[in-house]
Amino acid sequence: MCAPKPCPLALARKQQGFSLLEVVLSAGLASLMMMAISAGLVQFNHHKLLAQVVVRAQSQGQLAVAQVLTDWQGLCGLGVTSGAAHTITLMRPYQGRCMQYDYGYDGRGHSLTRRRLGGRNSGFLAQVEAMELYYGVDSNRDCRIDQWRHRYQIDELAELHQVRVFLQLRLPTSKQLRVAQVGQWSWHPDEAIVLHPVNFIWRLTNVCR
Amino acid sequence: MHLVQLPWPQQSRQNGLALIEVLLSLGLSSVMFLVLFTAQAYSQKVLIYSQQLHFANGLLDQVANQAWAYPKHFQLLASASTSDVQCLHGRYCAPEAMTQAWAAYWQSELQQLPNGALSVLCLSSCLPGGTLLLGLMWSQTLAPATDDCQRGVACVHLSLAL
Repeated sequence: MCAPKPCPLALARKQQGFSLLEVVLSAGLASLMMMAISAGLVQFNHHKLLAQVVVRAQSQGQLAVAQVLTDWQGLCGLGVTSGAAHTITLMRPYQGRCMQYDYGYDGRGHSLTRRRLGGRNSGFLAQVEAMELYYGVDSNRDCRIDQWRHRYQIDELAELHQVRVFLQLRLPTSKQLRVAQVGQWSWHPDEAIVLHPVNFIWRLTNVCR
Repeated sequence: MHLVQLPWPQQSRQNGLALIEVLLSLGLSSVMFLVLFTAQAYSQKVLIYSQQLHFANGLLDQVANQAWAYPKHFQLLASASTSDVQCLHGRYCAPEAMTQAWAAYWQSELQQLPNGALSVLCLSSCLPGGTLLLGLMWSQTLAPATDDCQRGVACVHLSLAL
């Protein structure tokens, strides 16, 4: 029996604690594991944010293009009557009548606006940081675009064929994504917002047909 | 007492984990992390591929519009010759110069796709009644092999009836 007699010293020590080497090794392993876990969590979070922005950029971009093109199709009367870099005026049917509509960019509200003649401005497309328009005109009536300019006024000399639309959409996101390079996107200088460029061409189908 | 009579080695075995158990659990955790990281890296690549496809579709749509605008200069749309960039910013330009300016613009846009290349081909003829095939290809490891493209090359095509 061991109880009445004192146990050997070496055996008792081995049971009661860890050696310095064991402590150092386990601490090292634990810190490695913690680092891997933290890096994994940061990476997962970054990936989640990126996926959200990508999906939102694609859907919002497609929606913006579809909304503008749908609104500008089926013109009546003179069609596009005038335009500048940030505004365009065109004729669209409304309740059986041909009405003038003004489209523009509202910088304060970050949106595109639409106004029927005699009416009020109403939001047409939200979350827009910038809009720029170029008008492709045929100035010698040979059915070829020979000039892309910022201004257009309907007259007998120049005929409008296409409009290039440059939009910059705002995609609110987390600042944590800011550290990463995100393809063709840029960051808003002051806010946690990704700016997503959406460029498309509106072709006036009734020209030269 | 019976407990007191138990030999030492048996008691210590019950109180803690063996080194092999610790090592096995660490190994399993590392494998799990590795699998998770690999899955995430793959998912990130898929995201990038999806974004590239989205961009390529938008670009092809714009090229198609210019193909309609300059029906006699299709081939120039895919060339990389020198051009006057002012043609797209207000200057009056002849159709040929305008097409070259667009070609230069597409080339600059294509920089966003790795090894991106634009092709414009007339199937049968370039006359009314023929078909114009616009194609865009770029390097993408995730792209599967198709009839027109080999594995590792992503391709997007658009056919236009002239």
